[in-house]
Amino acid sequence: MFPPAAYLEKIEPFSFLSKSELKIILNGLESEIFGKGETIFRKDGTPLKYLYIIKCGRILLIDEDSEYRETLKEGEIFGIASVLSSNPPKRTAIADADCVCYLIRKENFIRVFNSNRKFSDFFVKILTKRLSSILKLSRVSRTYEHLYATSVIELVSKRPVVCSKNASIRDVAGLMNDNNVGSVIVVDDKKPIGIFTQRDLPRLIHLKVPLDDEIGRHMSTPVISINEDGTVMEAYLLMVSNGINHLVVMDDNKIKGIISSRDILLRLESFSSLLSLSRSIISLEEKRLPEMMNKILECIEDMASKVPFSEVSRISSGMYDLIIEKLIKDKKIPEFAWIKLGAAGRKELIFPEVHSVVIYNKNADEFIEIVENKLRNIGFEIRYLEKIHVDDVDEFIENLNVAHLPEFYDGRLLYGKREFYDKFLNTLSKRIKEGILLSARNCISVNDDYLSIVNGIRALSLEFKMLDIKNTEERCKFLVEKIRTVEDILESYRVITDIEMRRKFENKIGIIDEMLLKEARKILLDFKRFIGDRYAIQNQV
Amino acid sequence: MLSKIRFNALDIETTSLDKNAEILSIAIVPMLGTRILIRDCYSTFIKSKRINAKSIKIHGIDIKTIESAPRFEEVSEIIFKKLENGIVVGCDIEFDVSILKKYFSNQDLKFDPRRIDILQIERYIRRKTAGRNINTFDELIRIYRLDDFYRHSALVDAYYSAQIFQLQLKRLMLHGISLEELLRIGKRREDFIPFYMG
Repeated sequence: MFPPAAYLEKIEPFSFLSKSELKIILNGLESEIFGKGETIFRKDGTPLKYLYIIKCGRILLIDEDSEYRETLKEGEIFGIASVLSSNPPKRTAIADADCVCYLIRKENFIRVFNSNRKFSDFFVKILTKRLSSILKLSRVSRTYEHLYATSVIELVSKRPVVCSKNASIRDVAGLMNDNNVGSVIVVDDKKPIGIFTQRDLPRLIHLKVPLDDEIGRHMSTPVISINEDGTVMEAYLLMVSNGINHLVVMDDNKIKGIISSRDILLRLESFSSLLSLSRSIISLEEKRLPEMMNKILECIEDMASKVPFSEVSRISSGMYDLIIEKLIKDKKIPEFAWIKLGAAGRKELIFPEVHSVVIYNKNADEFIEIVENKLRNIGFEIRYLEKIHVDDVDEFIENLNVAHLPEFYDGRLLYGKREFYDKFLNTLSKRIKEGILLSARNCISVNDDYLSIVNGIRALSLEFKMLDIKNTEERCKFLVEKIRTVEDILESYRVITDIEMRRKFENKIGIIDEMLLKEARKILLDFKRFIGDRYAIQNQV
Repeated sequence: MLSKIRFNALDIETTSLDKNAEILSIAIVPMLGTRILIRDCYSTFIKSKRINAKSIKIHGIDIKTIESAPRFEEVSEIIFKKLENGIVVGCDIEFDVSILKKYFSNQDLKFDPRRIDILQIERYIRRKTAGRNINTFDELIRIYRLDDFYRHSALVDAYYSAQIFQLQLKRLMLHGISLEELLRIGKRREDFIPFYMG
């Protein structure tokens, strides 16, 4: 194959092109060499006639007026804005080392830009900083399916059929028949209170239950619901952990439909191994859990190259929740609340770890010690596991070391008594100003990009008293309406978490990923400045 | 101004390396100064009477391709026009030029272009920088760290020649070399003319 064609075929977004589109690019292609220090084009000079791709070497983009400097490496593209807008370039491009560039004539580039939507999307998204969309584009180019990210609403194909609890079994059977559905949601004042399915009917007939009986006496309760944005995998895990086969899909307080485990299995056939693993967690003997953990980790590693961090982490966190729940649920132990903190509380865990507090009302030492040992044997890293008597919650939180405080605001009730959890939240709310300030400081001072965003977003969430939302992406979605800059940082967060996760598993990332990371870090720097200004933190951004 | 001079990186694949060699394919990669005009690259197979198993093995060209290719006289005008206004560049370029001379003379076309041998240029640069001597095209490709593609295709080899000459020219231009000097150092000296040219 002709070397320039082979080179372009390998790099995104040219890899999105058909053979005929690539030929159009080749028909407008040149190659030029630039010596170190040579100026390729100047800011405010003539509008560019070529788009540039670095074949080898380095290019420095500078803006003398704003002290902007950016180094570009092999495979990176520059001159996009000027070529697309026909305006003078906004930066000066200088060879930072001897380098060879491919130059694509503007006319040929525009021709392909106008004919290939995916190709043009790539450039538009670079210009508009829709970074995570570029990740999505590049992921689709690897022809991976994106099933883990399918939201449950996509599985709802029929309008929900509802009835009141006073309706007769006969009427409900008629409703199912008339609407050609297998289940009916029983409502009271528009709120779902139970489910009645086709499979319940033979049982009632067998038991000779009069068909005029009220459905409210024979429906399955309680109703477990999931928000329409929830993923199919989350829905499945919810069914498994509650031992049910149907979930009601809600949009805030409105019923949108009902989904069954069968709907999910049909949809997620190719991921049946992970699904069967989650089913097995419930029925498996405890001694086989370490072996199960290895299989889970293999599945998660496989997912990491195909699915965004937000989905992988929610699914893996869900799996780890199931295991912990299995070990603590239904045990004859004193009343307690198991609260997950930090990344575990935010459902942002990839690898299994324990970062929790247990609030109890009678001595729980032995129980916690047993669970801790079991978790360690299964493969959990025990980062933090603190037990607090319910009467000591106030004192404990009031005296809590400030270094730990921010992650307590990510605390999520995994299992146990809600009253204990509510007490925990109430006490925490008394130190909320400290929580905001500490999170803001962490945002600015930590070197880890992910933790920096997590802390900044937590500070803003606490400022708006959003104590019940824990996941960083969900917090961002809530904050977007209030603070415009959160939209950009959400893009940046998605890019950073996604690429860093893949780097962990694959030990390398591509040129486009490097470029996206660089853009994401620029947004993060602005975000840190914004947080610094908002909370009056004099600092080192 | 060397940056305004037209160069043509040339490569031909032949049935053998003697004076009776027949052309199997030809490729031209034009350059304007150090800029390679990839968009204007030209390459074609040429119908040959003497293609044999050895040529097929070396060049990876199948008989059907050669049988369905145009005869040289059908494309000679296009090739002549592409080459007439530029300086021909390549590795062991005397051989390629001598074969083409013979072909063009059969068409009553006089072909004697100015030419530059990139192996000679490299030897000059290495003499100045006390580098190890270079004797083959493969060595040139290796030292310039060019991407490793399947060789023995006229277009790929012509493109390699263009890339190497692009780097050499840039280096020499920084030292203010003139066209005359470039032609002088790029000329194959008599003592380097290989046996098959004798």
